[in-house]
Amino acid sequence: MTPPAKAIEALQITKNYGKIQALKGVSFTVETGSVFSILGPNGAGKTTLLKILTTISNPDTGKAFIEGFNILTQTLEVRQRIGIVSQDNHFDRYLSIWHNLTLHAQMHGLPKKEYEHRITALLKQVDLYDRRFSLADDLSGGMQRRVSLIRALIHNPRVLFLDEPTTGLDPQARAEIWEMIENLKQTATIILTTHYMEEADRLSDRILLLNQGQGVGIGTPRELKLALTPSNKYELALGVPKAKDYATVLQQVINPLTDVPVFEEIIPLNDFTLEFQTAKPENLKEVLRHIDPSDLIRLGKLEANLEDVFLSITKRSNAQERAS
Amino acid sequence: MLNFKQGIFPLYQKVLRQESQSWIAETLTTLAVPLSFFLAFGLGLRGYISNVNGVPYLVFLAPGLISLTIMLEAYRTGAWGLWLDRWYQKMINEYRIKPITTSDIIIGEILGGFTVALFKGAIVTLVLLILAPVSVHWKYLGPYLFYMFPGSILFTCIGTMVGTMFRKPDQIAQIQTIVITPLLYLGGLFFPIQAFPASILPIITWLPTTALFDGGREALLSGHLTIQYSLILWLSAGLSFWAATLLFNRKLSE
Ligand SMILES: Nc1ncnc2c1ncn2[C@@H]1O[C@H](COP(=O)(O)OP(=O)(O)O)[C@@H](O)[C@H]1O
Ligand SMILES: [Mg+2]
Repeated sequence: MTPPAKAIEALQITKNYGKIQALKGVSFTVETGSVFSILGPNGAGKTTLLKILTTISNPDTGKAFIEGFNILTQTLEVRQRIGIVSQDNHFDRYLSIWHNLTLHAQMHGLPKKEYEHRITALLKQVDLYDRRFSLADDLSGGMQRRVSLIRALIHNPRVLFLDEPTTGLDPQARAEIWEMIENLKQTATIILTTHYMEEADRLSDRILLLNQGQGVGIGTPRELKLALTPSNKYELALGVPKAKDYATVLQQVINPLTDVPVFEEIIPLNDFTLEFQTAKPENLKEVLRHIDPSDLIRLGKLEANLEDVFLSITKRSNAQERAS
Repeated sequence: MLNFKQGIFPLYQKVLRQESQSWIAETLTTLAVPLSFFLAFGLGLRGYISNVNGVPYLVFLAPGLISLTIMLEAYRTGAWGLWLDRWYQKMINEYRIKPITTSDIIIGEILGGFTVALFKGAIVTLVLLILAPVSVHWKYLGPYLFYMFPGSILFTCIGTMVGTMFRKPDQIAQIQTIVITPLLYLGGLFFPIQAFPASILPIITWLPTTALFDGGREALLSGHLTIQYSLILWLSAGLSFWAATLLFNRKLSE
């Protein structure tokens, strides 16, 4: 027996819009039944990547397979297996929620009896059955999001794409969407894009960090965090408002052997605390040498979080970009 | 391969549903243009124009007003429908991830526009029947529709092409004013085309709108069809259908 195909295989995908290189050769695979996040700032190329994987737009070069089906040559097979919730809520604003949903069910070829039953159940699940004859414009942003989500589920897709599912939602609505995604894990492979670290950290099995059209890191949230450990970030808390003065002092501590500053990235967070990085823990002695013990409250190590990982990796890739 | 059940029909049904959402406003909008002309030309000028081509002016004018409504509505439904779905509501992208083809989508939209246009023509016909001393020879309805079918396909297709190409809503109105309206008014809607100077008459007779208005009137009043008009209309309907489908498929695969 051949092993089941990966839910997604993307190989060296590129896409240009005129002079803008939206994707510069992105590759990754997604295991069936997992939640995979594409994490990146605005303009990173997340939506472009999803449009290509969902057959809306063609890559310039590269290949991709959804459950083994080629996105370029087997579009109908791919489309039968996917559901997508796009970044903005797209509805037919002249039709009721009910008719928006039935239209999509018809396009998937479901028999009337079956889809009416299914839509009713899904609407009840998201507490919107009573609003089924409303127009989309009469629903709140969070409600519209829920309708978009169930619209993508009517045909029981095997692979579900969510483009920034919670951007612009209030915390309450966001929590609801998170809960829905967590429940969906059992039935579908989920690919979501986000620029919220917290979201990627909480929901995903694996994360692809995307920056300026390039994959700059991939792994489980834990692996990505470990990649930065031993965390080389420290926090210095002072009893006096001298953070800026000490930042200047620490900036001038030079390693006598290499002539480079011992401390990188010294940032006064406020008057009383500053954050800095150093590659070698033994350098911390230098800090203590330069700080008046009576000013010092605490010197501690900061745990890496996904945001640090992301910032440090994207900074590195941006610097390389500029250098080349 | 076309998919009627999953692609064409659901989209066709959607266009009709959209239209029926605000049917009172739609009906009033539909009636506004032909009734204004009817009042201005038919009643206002009645004393000055007695018979045209052997029939009272009102009788001469009425078939053209019905055809005018059908063509304007075909253009409007096609253009705004596509504009809404492609640029405003962005629904086209939602349809495209369904297991259907872009041809299914555009054909559904075209058939929808075509049906809406014919339906609105029927409404205007009813209203004119009540207002004017026109008696319809029902047996001539067949020949008349033989022209109106391809005509409304032609104008729906022109509309869908405009709605597919132009991102800004004012452009749709501009095309209507600059291209569609002159084409419609030149086709013998208000006066017999023989009134045109002999130098431009040959051009006029080959306009599809002449086939619609001049030909349509003759068909409705006497049941008479000509080969030239039939050919012009059915060929341009076929051509525009092919062009609209091609353009849509092209634009969406960019
Ligand atoms: N249709 C388009 N035409 C031109 N440029 C585009 C188009 N779509 C996206 N881009 C550009 O491609 C880059 C990636 O965009 P996008 O995929 O939307 O990023 P993200 O979803 O991560 O915010 C951006 O620089 C954006 O301006
Ligand atoms: Mg995006």
